[in-house]
Amino acid sequence: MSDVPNHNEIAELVESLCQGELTAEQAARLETLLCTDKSARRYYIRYLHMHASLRLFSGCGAESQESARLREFMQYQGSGVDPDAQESRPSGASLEESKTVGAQALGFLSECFQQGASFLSKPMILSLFLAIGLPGILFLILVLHVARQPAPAVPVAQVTETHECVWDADTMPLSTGADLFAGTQLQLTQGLVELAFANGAKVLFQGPATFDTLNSDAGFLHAGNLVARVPKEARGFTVRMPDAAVVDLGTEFGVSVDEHGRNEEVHVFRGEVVLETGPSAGGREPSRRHLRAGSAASIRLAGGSHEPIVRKIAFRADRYVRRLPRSTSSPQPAIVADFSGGEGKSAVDQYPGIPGLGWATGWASHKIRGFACRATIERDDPLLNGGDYLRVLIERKSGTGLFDQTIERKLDLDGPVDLRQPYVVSFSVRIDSLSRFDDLGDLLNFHNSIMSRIKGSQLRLASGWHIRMGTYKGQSVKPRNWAFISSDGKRETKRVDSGIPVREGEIYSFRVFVDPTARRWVPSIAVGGGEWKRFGPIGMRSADTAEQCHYWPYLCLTWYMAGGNKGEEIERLGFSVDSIRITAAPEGHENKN
Amino acid sequence: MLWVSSQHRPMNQSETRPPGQPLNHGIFLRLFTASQPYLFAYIYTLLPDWNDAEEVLQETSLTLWESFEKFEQGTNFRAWACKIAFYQVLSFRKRRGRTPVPIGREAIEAVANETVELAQSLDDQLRALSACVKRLKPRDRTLLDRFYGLGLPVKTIAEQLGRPVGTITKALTRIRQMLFACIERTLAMEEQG
Repeated sequence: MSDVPNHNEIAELVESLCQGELTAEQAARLETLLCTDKSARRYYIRYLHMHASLRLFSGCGAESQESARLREFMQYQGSGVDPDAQESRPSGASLEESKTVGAQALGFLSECFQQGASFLSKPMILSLFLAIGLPGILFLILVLHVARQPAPAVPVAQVTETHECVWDADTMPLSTGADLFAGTQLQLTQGLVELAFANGAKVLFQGPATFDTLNSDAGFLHAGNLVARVPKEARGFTVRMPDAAVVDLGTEFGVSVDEHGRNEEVHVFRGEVVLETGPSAGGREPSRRHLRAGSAASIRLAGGSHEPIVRKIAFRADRYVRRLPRSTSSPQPAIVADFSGGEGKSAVDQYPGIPGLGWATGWASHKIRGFACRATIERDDPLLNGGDYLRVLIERKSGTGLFDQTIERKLDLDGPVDLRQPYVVSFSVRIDSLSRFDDLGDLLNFHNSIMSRIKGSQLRLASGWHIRMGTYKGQSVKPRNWAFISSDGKRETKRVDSGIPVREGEIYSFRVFVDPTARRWVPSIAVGGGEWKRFGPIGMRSADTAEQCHYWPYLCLTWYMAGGNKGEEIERLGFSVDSIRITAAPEGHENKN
Repeated sequence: MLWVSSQHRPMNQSETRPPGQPLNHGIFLRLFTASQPYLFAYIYTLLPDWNDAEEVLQETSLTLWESFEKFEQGTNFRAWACKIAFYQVLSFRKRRGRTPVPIGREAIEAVANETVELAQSLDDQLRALSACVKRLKPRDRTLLDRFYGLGLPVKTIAEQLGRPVGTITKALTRIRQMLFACIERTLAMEEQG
């Protein structure tokens, strides 16, 4: 820049001024330079502008959080913006929306309101508002009321796995399950850490590395190696680096930055990414290049240039650790769909803290005409594994009609267990009460289909494995025996009778070996914690391939009460379900109980 | 929301309004708050003392409000505000009398004139600063928060962190210089673009 003086004198003088240590002699010299040297004058102005801006932004706590609010403010300032461009908030809009709108309306001031900065408490602002008068004060109070609402601390990511980690002294050691918020910086000296972002993306980075969680769909890699696996629903997940950004289009890729925050590389393992280079804060659009699977690129700043140069380089998958090693000493990785805590009323109950991977439908108690259904989380009188469990009681005193309820959750194909490979599902069910429940269509089902989203999806009703207790037409299966639902591959349902009766007060443990690609499953049942009895192998209920069924990434519980009751006796089904656990199948498991 | 109920039309710092239509507090607040960071930095370059600059900003804000009816349509609010702030600075210095100030009248005028030429560049700098701050290490950001955000004296920070005063001073200098260099790089990239 032409403003930079070719000597250090002005820099030293200005820095002394910032430190509050400018001597009289230095002040005189500064005065002279400011009056006579244009470049010195410009340096002085720009340095002090930065100094003053830091005071304002730090006063808002903005830069310490690397928050979206700072970016919004910067964009607001820089774009010549127009505060009025925000439309009025429709009645019923959320508080979050109103806060955002409020922040944009007041720009810097609302930043400070939200952050509780002392700057605004200074008399000048109060005087100003007093001068503006009552309408202004009312206006301010309203905005303050909105803007002062504390922003809820929502985790943007969670630590899902760690492996032999040594953390930098500045970073609190993190373990599996730790929530991460926007602006958290992780400095890993060695080892591997896997994070799951709220949007579903997963990153695995290898120490030494420094990584920031920016928000639910972006992170910043300052140094080190990182692999991101991004499901389709998390398209747009972005890994920023000092001189580039990689925007995912639903894929898996690796990025690296050297220890000086330079020499970035991108290697695309699957799918496609967009590599952005150049300024992101200025008015210009960054340069964008598409990189596809099997390709790689480097980003360099060549010889004093500040413009990143992108070059194609040899693709090297071996440069990155793409999966955490499975340690024999650590517990086997598992997907655990449990019922600990929560109330089940939310559309997506956020187990285990990552939206979209919890129970997607609630199980709260409710009544409809003629029926009463109570679904609660219980701890007393636990099942075999102990801990919290779901207890359901459905009753009908009289009348006719159908009651049905479903709870289900989506699973992460790329989670701790690769659900494209053979795996084992384990869970226990206790029959707490069973009275009548013998009409055609009285059913209790456990399977891996999804009921609530069948309509409008490409999926045909297609559970893979499917366990049921109920009454059937034709009596091919004995009523109230546990049965397995299969298919002949031509959409004709077949039932396999386990011969194991469902009795009140009994606990049944299920273990289901699932081989998605081979389209077969092998269920085992143990009654009362006794010996396992194995069945099958059984074909998947779906006539479609695993790929067509997206590998059945769901867990689903459904119960139906059909027929009618003339009132002689209460029709009742009560059952309890313990956590459902999925683990990778060990070699040869299909042939074992 | 009261604040959005008044106008939905576009408005930027070159506010335009129909002749004869009264300006209201909402318009003023939006213009003022949008310009305020720049205005504070402007005043600080003329009066490099936090307390003095804030006091002058307070006085300037009141004067701006009182004079808002004189604000001409189609003109730049920020430029108008800076002009008023400049005279507020001179007035403040006059009131101060013998109390020494870091730079004199002639230098102030030179700086003020130069700032007008640099206005766009200072906007760019502000944007670049945001990107550069993001790259700081957590310990550096923490230090900035204590010094700039909480306004703690270096001595207090040193006591809190159990470090010598000189170490904190040097660290702050290093961070400022690092940020300034980063801003230079970012702006140079944009210029080359």
